[in-house]
Amino acid sequence: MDQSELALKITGVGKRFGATNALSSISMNLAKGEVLGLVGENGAGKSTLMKILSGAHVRDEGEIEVDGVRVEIREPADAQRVGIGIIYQELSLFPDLDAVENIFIGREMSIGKSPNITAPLRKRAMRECARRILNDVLSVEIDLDCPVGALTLAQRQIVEIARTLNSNAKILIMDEPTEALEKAERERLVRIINDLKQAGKSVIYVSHKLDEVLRICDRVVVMRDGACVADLPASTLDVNKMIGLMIGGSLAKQFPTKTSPGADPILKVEGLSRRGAFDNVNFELHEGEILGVAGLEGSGKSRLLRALFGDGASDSGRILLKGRSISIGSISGAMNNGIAFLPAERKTEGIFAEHSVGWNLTASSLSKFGGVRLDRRAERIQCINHIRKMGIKSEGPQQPIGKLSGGNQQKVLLARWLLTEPDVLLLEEPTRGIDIKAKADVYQLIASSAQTGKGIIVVSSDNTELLGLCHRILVMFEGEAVGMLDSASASEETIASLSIQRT
Amino acid sequence: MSTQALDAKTTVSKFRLSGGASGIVIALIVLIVALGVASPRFLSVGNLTDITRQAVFVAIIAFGATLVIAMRGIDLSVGSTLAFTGLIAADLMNRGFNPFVSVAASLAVGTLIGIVNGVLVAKVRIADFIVTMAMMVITRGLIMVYTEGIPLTGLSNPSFQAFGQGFVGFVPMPVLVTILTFAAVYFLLYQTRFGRYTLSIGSNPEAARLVGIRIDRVKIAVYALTGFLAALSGVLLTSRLEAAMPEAGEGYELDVIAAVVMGGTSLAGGKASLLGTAAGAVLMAVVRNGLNILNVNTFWHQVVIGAIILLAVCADKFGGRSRDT
Repeated sequence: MDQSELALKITGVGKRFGATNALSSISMNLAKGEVLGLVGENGAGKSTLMKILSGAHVRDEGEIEVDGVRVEIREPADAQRVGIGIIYQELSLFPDLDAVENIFIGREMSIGKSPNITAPLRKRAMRECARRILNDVLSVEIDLDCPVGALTLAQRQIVEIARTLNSNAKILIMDEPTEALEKAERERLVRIINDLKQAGKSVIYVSHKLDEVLRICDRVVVMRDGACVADLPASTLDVNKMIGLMIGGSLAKQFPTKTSPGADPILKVEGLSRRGAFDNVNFELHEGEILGVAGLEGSGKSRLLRALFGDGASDSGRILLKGRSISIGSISGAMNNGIAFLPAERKTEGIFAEHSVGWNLTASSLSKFGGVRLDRRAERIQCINHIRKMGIKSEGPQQPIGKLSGGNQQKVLLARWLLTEPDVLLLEEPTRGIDIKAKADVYQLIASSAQTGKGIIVVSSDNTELLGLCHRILVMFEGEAVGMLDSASASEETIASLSIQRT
Repeated sequence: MSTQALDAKTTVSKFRLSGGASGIVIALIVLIVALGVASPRFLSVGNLTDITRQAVFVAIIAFGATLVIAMRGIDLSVGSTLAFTGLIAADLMNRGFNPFVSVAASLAVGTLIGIVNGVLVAKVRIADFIVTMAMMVITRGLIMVYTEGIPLTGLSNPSFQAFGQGFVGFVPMPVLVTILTFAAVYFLLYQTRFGRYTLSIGSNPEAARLVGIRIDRVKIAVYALTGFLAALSGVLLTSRLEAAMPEAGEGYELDVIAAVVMGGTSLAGGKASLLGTAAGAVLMAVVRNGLNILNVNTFWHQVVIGAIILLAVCADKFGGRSRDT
């Protein structure tokens, strides 16, 4: 490929977050007028790479060239200046402003040669220019006077594309652009991308919808564990090949041996629904069973799990605990029924950072320690016991939890919930952001709690983890349970294709 | 293992008494020594008693406000509540009610004001700043409507006078009440689930919710406690002055916040030092007293107090939320 035709050249870009290598030495090219597909599982590093290109993160190493010139992208304004525009998954428009105002936000046209911030705006010129982009370039009709909050999702997305085009972006990054679109709207987006391509713009298209990627893109880059594992013309790929590349490797030996669950169902969910979140979900959880829940972000798996913990009510359906129908209206209600929940976001939802390991460990079972006055001695003894039992590396209960590694913090949070002696343990991304050694420990702890007869549900975006840890796996797609797999016979391909639901 | 455990435990309680409050205690000592050198009158028994008497009214409220601030909240209504409840006690007695009934009613009204604040903040979810500021203006307005700005006097009942003016042994009654309040709030904050929950909410509200803490109830209880303590302070002040002053407690909300923040309780929530708050309240009284003794124009007092508050908040901001020992 001729160097002068390259719109973007990335060489050896890397990024670390603390001890985790989010990206390691990524290199890729993007030609002018090319549409590049970027695929990979959740956590493979796609978003991190796109955030580096758009200035939301700063790379630790490597070089970025735009049109053959080395550029430094340290903040979003830098990306804009060099001609990289990003269209976010979660739209970033101002809902109370109309389309024209949104398209020109931050680069309004004013009267005067070098207008300052108080110069009068050239409203008619801006309106004309917005109309030209929307009608002539994108060939769509949008009400220019309507606040964009009142437009449909697809229309808002087009306003966002128009805004990016108006910033003279040469490289457009689209992150899951069709996730929320209807079929006709998707077709229109495909046409727009083709038009942009004809006009010499380059597009990076990030998506989970693999068939779409194949249809739209000229070339596909597959990422896994922060690295590029394949860079191939779309014509040489098919969906199964891509899934295989995304998953890579095989199950590691880090998982404990599974023991068979008991015969009695401990939790039974019948027709559980919440409008807009999950619909008619049915499953049984047995004593000693670890049930996995797989699905993409937004598939409803987390909202289902949280509903079982009383965080967000369900509209209809029944929950039976040990054969008894219960209603879970609040978190404390769920806890009284012997249900425990470990949330995904350790920092924002889990730890009390300025407090000690002991304080954190007993936070959900303080009523066990004394009546009016807390029995701090009993509390301390329990903490010491659990620190030993869980293999938490700390100087003792009085050590501030902030001093512990992520893996040890996670063990403290797991201990917090085991201390409540639950019958059902709900775990959301239990090993997110912890190192491999700690992962194996957490798997072991989960498996041994199951052996004591608890029912455990694990929501995870890591399908390898689900296969290695769980007895059965429920797959969710757009709020529906689309499959229940036996992990002995299931493969990552079956999970991935069920959760992507390609047609 | 058990001796080791005990050792660690004593370390923890020692830290609570010294670590959070050490800065303010040093500042207090330096200030007292400096003022003592500047003016011999400062260290006289009479003057020190004056300082203590001044400090207690702010201190009692600040103990409650410590919990509010540790929970990431704020209460600006305390000064008006103090005046309002003091007025209620005085008015009921002037109408011939028994002093104990009058005081109980006054305390109940203070608690009720706190509950209203708490419900609006926790259930209706209006910003605490707005709710308590509105409450501050409303109660002050009611006082002015009722008294037309004229103090309510003539509180001659000896058992009511004893409350604010009497002594137990050589300890003045208000000081004794303050010590008892300190002990009670200390117990609540460090020895009960209620205290843990309060600090948990301030430390990480989302995590607190997910460990099953009923955040709204705890919030309402904390505001109620503060309202109660403002009323207690109001009754003491009315008894001491033998009058309910319409402008009583004006500006107390800032003195209280200053005392709490200087004492080492972070505005970011999650940690509280009750002893620091006590020292902070004394410091505020020492500053006001020192300005008087040094004959500084009273108009400058506000400037100095305001500057101290800003300094304390800046120190809190830039000192960061220390997670070390």
